[in-house]
Amino acid sequence: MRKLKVAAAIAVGLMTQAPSFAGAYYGATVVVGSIYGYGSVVAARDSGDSKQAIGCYIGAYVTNVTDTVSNNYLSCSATDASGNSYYCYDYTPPDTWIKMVTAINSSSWIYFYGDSNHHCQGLNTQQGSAYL
Amino acid sequence: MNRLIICAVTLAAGLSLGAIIDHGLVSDPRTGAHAEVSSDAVTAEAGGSPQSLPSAAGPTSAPDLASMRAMIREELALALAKPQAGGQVTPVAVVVPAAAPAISAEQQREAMQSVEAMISGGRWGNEERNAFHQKLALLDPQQREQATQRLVQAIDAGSIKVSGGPML
Repeated sequence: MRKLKVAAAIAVGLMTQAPSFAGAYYGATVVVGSIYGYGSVVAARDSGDSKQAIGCYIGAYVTNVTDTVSNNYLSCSATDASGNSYYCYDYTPPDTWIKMVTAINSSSWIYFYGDSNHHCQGLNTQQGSAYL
Repeated sequence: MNRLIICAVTLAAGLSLGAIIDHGLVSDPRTGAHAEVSSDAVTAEAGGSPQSLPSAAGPTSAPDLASMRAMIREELALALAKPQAGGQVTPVAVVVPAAAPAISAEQQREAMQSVEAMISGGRWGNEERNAFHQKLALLDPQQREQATQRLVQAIDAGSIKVSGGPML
């Protein structure tokens, strides 16, 4: 019984410890314009509101099961704290974009832009400790 | 197969060489090159330089090149037509790629109708998004763009509510 109490005390102690961070942090909240969106993945996720979000999506499909080359689909979207969104898509995304999107993770900052019909025209991403 | 071709070519070369010798080719001492000596040439040269006369006694008629070529062709054809050592001619496998089943216009029409129905539903969550992408695979590029623009307009107009996941 005494052992159980000790173990419980240790567990509570560990749980109440706040994580400590050091180093630069670029709190990049999500910004959305009429034809662009940017922000960091973590800043969006950690924002106090329940609206911010940013990310990209890749789809690859074949028309026939025997096809050896896929049709690719890419889209990116961003929503700011006020709920404004911009998104764009591309049915023939360049390989570079596909590689960039697959590299997106929690340390990523994303910037994308397109036209008024939501066709993507540019994508920039960067990964770094300051965005974590 | 390579050995067969080499044999045939060697045979043809041998036959050609034999025919050439038979038809009396001589070396032109002035040029060092081989020259055919025809009866006409001998006649023409006869009054001139006697060195140009053929040194070897042989036929002075022009070689029948056409028949020589025909003979070579015949020999080659025969050599190539002969079965290989095993006695069997190896059949050449011809692989004809199966034609990919085309998507019918009817399937595309149905896919477009499904997309319309999804958009009219007014909700755009993961389920609709996945179904939408599945239908896109059936459409040609022009229809795909048309369907997506239809969705984009609905989102921008607020007639469809996006929930969870990416917008498109």
